[in-house]
Amino acid sequence: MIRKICTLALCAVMVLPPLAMAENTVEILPTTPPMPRPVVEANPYGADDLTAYYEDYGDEYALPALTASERERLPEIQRRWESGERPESSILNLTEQVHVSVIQLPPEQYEGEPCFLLLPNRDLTDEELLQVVDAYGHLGLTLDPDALSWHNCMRGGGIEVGIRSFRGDERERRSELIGLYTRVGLRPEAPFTDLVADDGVGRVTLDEEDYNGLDEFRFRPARRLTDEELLQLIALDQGDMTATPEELTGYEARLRQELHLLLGMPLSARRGTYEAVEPFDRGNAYGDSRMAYSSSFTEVGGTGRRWRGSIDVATGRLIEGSVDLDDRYYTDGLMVSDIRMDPWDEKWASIAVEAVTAHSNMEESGITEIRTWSETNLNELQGVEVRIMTSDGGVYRAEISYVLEEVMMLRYNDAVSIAAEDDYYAHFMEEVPVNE
Amino acid sequence: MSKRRVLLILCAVLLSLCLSGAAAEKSRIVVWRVTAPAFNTEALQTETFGADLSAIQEEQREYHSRFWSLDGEGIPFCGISHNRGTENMQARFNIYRHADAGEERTYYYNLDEWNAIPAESGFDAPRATETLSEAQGLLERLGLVTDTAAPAPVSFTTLGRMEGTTRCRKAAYALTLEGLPVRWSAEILRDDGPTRPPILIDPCYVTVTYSDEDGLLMLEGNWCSFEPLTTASEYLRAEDALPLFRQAGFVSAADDPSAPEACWFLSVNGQEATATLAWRVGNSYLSAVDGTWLQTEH
Repeated sequence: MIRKICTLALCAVMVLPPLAMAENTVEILPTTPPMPRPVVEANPYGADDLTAYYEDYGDEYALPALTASERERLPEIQRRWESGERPESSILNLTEQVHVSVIQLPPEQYEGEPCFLLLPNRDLTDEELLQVVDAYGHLGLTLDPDALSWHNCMRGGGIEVGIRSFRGDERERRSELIGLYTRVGLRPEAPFTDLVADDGVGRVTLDEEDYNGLDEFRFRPARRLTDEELLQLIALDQGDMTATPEELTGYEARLRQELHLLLGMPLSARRGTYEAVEPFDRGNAYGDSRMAYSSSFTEVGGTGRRWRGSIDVATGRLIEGSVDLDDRYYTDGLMVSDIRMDPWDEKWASIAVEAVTAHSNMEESGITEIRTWSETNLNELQGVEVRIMTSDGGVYRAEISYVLEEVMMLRYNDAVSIAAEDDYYAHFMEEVPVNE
Repeated sequence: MSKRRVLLILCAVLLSLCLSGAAAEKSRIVVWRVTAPAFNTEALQTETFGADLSAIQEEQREYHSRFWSLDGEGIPFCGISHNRGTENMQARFNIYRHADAGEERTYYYNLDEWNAIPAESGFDAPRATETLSEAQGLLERLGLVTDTAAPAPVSFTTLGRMEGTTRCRKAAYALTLEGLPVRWSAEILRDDGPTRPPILIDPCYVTVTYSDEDGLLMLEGNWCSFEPLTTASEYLRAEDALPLFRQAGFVSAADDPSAPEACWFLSVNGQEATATLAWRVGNSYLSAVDGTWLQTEH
């Protein structure tokens, strides 16, 4: 009996565990869903990379890099700094009248870049190179020439405005905010500050001679600008408004009336974003320093014609204005034959007069003289400018395309502004040295 | 051979000649092939440097395949570039010459449009005929005038309105074939669009400028040569072309009594550049060969 029991037990020991194991099948349960493959999207607010545009550019004073001379001197300058030599002054976060500067950046807002180097359109002196090394040193960094790029360096003023342009809805919001700033009196809660490190937005003013005439460089972070930041930038651009919202409304009404009378603008034309009250400084040498209100308008419906104009705020009269009658001339890739004709042919006068009488309240009786002035070119279109002088001293300027034999743009200047412009060109050469 | 037979043969030959002549009168060249131009380089040099050419030196430069100067530095100089556009079908040529080549210049010239004197410009202007005659002679000496192709005057302009500039007279010319202007297609001008080679990015124009004080000042131009490719006896006449332009909607230009303009339309056929007899209204061209639209305004 015992023998049977032992045998059974032995069998059970041998058989049962496998059976138990067969029943105890481990089932792998899902724990987390499969992760989707991450898609790395370009930051829509990232810095403009101009590498493709300047790949073959040979001017080492226009690219974001050290010159050959500076690279050669850098190791010695670095060694001198490391041995304790220091520059006479620091350029770290120098924001005014910059010849050379190192601007500290909040890296999390500038795609990881800790600082931005501003270099002039000439070789740095040894002292300036030491200043750069010193500024980097203060930030705990070492200047690596190979790490300089469009993302952390600007040289010579080649980049127009700043690290990046307005993107996405920033432009639309900015347009709305400009109107609110000028016409409603909306103001930012806090003023704009030049220093980038405090809020991610900033600017420096530049020595124009060292930056090919560029007077300012702005920093916009690699993120969406807030309404407040956009408003601060608008306030920076607009400065102290020289007109109240009520005055602007009055000026606009007056400009609309003048453009309607003199250049046929319909009353329903829509005003554009841009408007300004500022000295009309065309031909300062002539003494024309009137305060002018300027704006632009677009035809609603029709052919989408565009008008631009400036009035003298004191008199309400048009100083200058223009209308694009046929805007094909500035269409990129305009497909027209390049035809040259005789600019002094009398037929251009007829075309010009027809355009003026059709697009203004001017009658032929108000015309005192018609004269072809010169050849001209509108973007890629060759043509001729015909001037039509009026009894009040104003001048219409019809820009006629040779190939299309049509007025592409019609301009108006009052007596003072046309005299100033002509005087400017007449004396243009006085400022140019006599050479080849 | 009998006299009758001889007479019969002679009549047949005469009749054949007459018929051939008649056929020849009816047919004309309707398509030209563009070829590389030829210049009288000796005349180019003489106009630039004078009769004594012993001191000139030739070199190749970025914008000139053949460049001549006295010392490699500055004016006077002249040159030809055969690499305009593609396939070397067009040449750019120029002469730059100052009477005063010394360090102290006695005057400054400006040939830009804002320096024009309107009252002294146009073909009726006082010195227009004299200037055009002088320039025409120069262009003939350079070899720009052939049996079929020739420069035709486009405009005469007097310059010097700006204070401090020297008075100059500028004559502009366009290339004509058999008296008709050659108009470049928009496509052949572009090297950045949907175009096919060959590309000739500048129409054939020449300007000749004379300083009132010192004679020839500057000559600049682009030029091509042409050889006949196709003749035809039947082609679209103006009275047949005008209704087609009206039908296509080019009404305002078609009301112009001078419309349409007879011209040559210069374009490409994928292998070569050709000039086709055409009618033009504005920016639109109708082939006179087969009545197809070669280019339309939009």
